[in-house]
Amino acid sequence: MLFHSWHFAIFFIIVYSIYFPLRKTRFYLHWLLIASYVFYGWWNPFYLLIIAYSTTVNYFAVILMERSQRKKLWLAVGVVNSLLLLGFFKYSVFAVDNLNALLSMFRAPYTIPAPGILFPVGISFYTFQAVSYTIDVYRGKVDREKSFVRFATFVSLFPRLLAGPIERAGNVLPQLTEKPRISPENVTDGLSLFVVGIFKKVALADYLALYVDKVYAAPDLFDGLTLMMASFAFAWQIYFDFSGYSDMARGIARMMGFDLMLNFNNPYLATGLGDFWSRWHISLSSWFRDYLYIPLGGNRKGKFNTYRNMFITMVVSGLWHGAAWTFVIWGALHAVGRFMTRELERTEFYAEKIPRLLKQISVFIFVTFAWIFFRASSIGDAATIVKRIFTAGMADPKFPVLALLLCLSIWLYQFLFESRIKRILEWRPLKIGVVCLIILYLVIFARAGNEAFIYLQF
Amino acid sequence: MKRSFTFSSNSIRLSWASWLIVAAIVAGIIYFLPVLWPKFEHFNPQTDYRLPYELSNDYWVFKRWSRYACSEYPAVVIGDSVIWGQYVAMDETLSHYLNEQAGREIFANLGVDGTHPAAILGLLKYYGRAISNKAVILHLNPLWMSSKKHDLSGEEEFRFNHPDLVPLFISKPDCYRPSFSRRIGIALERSVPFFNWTSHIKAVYFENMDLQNWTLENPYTNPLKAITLELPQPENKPKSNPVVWSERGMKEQDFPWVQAEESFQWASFKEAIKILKSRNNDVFVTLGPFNPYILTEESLARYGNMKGQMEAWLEEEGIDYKSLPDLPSEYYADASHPLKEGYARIAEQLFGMESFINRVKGISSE
Repeated sequence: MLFHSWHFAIFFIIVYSIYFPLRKTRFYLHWLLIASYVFYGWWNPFYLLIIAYSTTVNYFAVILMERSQRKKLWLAVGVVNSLLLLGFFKYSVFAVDNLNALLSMFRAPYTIPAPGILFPVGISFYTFQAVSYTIDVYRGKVDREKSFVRFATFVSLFPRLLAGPIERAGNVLPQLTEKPRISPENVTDGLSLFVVGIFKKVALADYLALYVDKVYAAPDLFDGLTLMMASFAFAWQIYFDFSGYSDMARGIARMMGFDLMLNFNNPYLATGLGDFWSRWHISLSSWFRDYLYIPLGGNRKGKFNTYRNMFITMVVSGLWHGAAWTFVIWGALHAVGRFMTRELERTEFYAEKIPRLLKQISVFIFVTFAWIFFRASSIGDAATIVKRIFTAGMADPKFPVLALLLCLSIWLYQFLFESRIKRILEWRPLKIGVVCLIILYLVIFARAGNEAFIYLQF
Repeated sequence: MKRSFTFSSNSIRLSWASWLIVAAIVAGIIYFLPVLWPKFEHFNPQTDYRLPYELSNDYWVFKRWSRYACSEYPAVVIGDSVIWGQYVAMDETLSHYLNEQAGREIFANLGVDGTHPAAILGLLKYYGRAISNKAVILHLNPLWMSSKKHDLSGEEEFRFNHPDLVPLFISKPDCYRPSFSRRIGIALERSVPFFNWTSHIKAVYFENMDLQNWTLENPYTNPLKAITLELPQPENKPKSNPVVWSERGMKEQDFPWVQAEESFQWASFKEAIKILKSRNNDVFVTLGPFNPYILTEESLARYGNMKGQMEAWLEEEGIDYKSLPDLPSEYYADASHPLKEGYARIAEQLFGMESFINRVKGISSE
């Protein structure tokens, strides 16, 4: 059930019309849990077993952690169980493929059969959320949640279940403890977020996908300029797709009286790679910072260790996105980029002498380059694309002017939003006009059919 | 305790009052745009007008043409490509020859290519509300009952003409399995003129594509310039080569036929008659023609049996009808479409019926 489908519209109307009167009773949590499980089970009822298992193990691991002297053991049980679950469903095919490649390299006379495992949508997101709870309780950052229903609702809360934001227990559990207050502002904020999100997804991401998919499906057939345009288009596509999902998730949650964290903060206005990662998929990058980078030592043990930790974190982050070497390379590229620019970014020259726009464009170009590996079907394809961008000449890319104008308008809007003249965007008639245009664009020109979100595959 | 909430990375945060203004503006545009659009888009049907073939799925234009026809002509002829005139030019259709027989412009051609009876029912129900208090000749092409597949009573999914006009939820044919989202989209298009208008824009100006796909095909064209406000004109020539069926190499057919009481299409046709009647139309039904020379003996017998059941129902209901007699073999272009001589003959046959002449006289005197 995708947010921009009629199924979801009907589902939400039913859920909300019961949730609203229930919100002041203790049954609202039960209803929310039922709704979240229906939402998830809609994809495949089998998924419910996995999420229920993950929830139960983490819930009891934390209880045992609190009651036992061997806290570390129960922490390990909770974390390892979650990671094994994720590894089994997400990486077993990848592992078997690589083992078979190794076996074939050594001319072994047998191969391991492909496991044929179903990949449960959203597992990467809720697993990380459950793990963060277990670790946070261990660290004493949050109290153990006594109610199983509340904890299960925290893990499965439907607006953010499939693709985040990956919330922390410290933010969401207290909200689930209070009775949700739904003010008119909650509803209007929620609507505002949802409308912008659906526009990003349906009108922009799915539009750019038409061009990107065609070019990336057969990179051999296209010239350098077309491949470059498709790569830039993909940079915007993935941003609109994922940030659109996050906006919709936050909007739905806001309408229900919950505040989810900001997940994207105009990442293509970043002036450095560090800045980029503080703006892109914030809930994931902060997760990796708190639960991997800092425990590895962070930047506390000298430059070498700092860069090593950074490298590990970025490569693991790449692997989190997908079980393929292209994602590993994508993560490694970001790590290398970060090594090369970290010191530079700290210099006075970079901070003061280089124009902001130049920094933004440089970061955007680097990030787009890395996206090539993220989007390509294989390392071979990615290499072909990179090679052809520089060697295959420049033909007419036939990139729609309308798409270009839309992307430029969004970029200009964001640029103004972060500038000193931001207040012109606050002008009420302008905001009303923009929303009217968004809605009319959607109802008149939106394509029929529902394209899935890119991040659902992670 | 009030939590702090980082709204978003944009300024599009509207208050209740602003949302109300947005709702009013959007609702106003959604309501008025389709109403005002005909004032800007040129539509000037000439004598013997029929819908341009490429707009056969543009129900907005059908709606507009039917509204125009009902205001300018005393009678309309409704049916599929047999009425539209697949193998003939605009001035060789049944409505043309009926007008010729009548001696003046009485009949308008509301035929739409590919409209099987279930589609005709949908067309009348959702887009043909203007057809009321009129004399209506409703044509039934028996070809749609020639097999379970054509009748839409088979279970195997397949693509057929005008799926957007058949029932979507209750009494939906088993062979029709659109996604839930698609069905909701179609239902909206049927009930909200604005959505029907957006389909019209896509059909007429964007080669039946959504804007995004159209800009991929025309990357440097301004989409607004594509909206020329000129509807395509129908070509005054046959859509398909007007050759006699036997010269086309068509072989003898052993159509199984679906019996009338089991037929989905016949049930839809009956429903269409009821709708027309409920709108105070004076309905006259034409059954056939159908090319008997193309059928095997057994198939012809089954066809006769089915036709008999239909005639019995029409008589029982007191609906004026004409089972069109067989035309000479050389007047057929295929199993059901006549050539121009065939249309002229049918018009003569109809004007040979006293009840039909009286009907035309009645119409003329109004």
